Amino acid sequence: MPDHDAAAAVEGRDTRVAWLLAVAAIVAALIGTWAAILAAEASVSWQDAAVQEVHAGSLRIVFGTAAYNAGAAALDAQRTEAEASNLAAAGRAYDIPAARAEGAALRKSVLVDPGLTMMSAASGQSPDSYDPKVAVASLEKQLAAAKNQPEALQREGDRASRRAVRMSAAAVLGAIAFLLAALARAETRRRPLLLGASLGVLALAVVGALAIGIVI
Amino acid sequence: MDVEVPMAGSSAFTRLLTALIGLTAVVAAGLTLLELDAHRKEARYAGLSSRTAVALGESAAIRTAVLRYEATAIQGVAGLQAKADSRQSSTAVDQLAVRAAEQNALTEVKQEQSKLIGFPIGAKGKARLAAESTAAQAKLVRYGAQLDALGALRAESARRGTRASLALSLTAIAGALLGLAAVLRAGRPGRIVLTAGLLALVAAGAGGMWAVLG
Repeated sequence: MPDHDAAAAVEGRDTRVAWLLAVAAIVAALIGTWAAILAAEASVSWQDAAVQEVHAGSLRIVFGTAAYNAGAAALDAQRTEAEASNLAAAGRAYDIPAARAEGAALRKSVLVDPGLTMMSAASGQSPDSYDPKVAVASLEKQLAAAKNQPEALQREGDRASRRAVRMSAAAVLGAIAFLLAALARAETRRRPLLLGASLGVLALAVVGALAIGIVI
Repeated sequence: MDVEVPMAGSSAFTRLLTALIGLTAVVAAGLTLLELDAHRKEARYAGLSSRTAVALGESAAIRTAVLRYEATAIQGVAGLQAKADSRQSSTAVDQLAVRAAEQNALTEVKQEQSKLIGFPIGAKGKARLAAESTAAQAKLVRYGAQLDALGALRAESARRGTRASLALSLTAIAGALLGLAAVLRAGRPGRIVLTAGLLALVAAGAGGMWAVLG
């Protein structure tokens, strides 16, 4: 009978160790998966930041270039207007019909640039007092009001990435718990110590993973 | 009736095998994390590279448009002045009144356009335009250098990821060999396979070090 009890006790210990091994392996795998999910989240956020940057950058390039081209057209129009006034004044003063006609024709050509018409309308300005900086500022205001800002997405990605690294460390703790349990199975003399250490490290891994995943 | 005969060295074999299996698990976990980290960094640098490339294109396009706009004002006003001067010098009659009117109109345009471009038109304006152009070029060079640096970091992360993957494959081979050793038990074939598994694990560890330090 005592032999039977001893054998039952050994079997019981082996079963507990086997359970610990299985739990440690499952916990390590789950935490590792969680870390992989966080890393994927970081990757998606970084890609979104790049996409948003491309989107905003394209708008800035197209709108900004058009705004300053329209600005150059507005400057041309202003000078044409001045030149038309001067020619008309000189024509009247010296009675030169050609100068008067040229002045009148020049005046007619003022403010017909389609880009200027479009950009002044887009930024709510009058074509004869059009300022490209105002147009660009109106675009920046619209971009700033957009929901997904590249910088915010980049920070979000960085944050998820930091959490992924910490979660990975927790997964390594799970793997160490597995190793300690495996050693406890083989090493009979230090089994209680190794089992205790394995349980402690496993608990640390679980608590750490939950803290990283839920609290931090 | 089957009788299990205790073999010499069987316990040591089992202990070593168990320790190696545990170690393989830890090495595999470490290498997986290393590979994950390398891919994470690669993704981050790829995103930053894309953003920097866009910023470079944006800076080049916008600064060119701004400089062209400012140059239009400076050159245009100079051209207008030249036209007025040529008209006045070619007129024989007294032209004081017209000259004054033209100068007034020119001054007005000059002031309006200076206000729009944000700095005075004239010699100072030209100098400012040249300085702005130089600054814009320097900014593009900076962006270019930043892109190169990010590209190098991305390539380095990709190399580390590849090395970690290689080491991970070796770890998988080690795991398979150790599993086979567990089936063969403490005979000669078992020891040979165990040694091969150990060597594969050492190679995996070296691969991991190569990924970290290389």
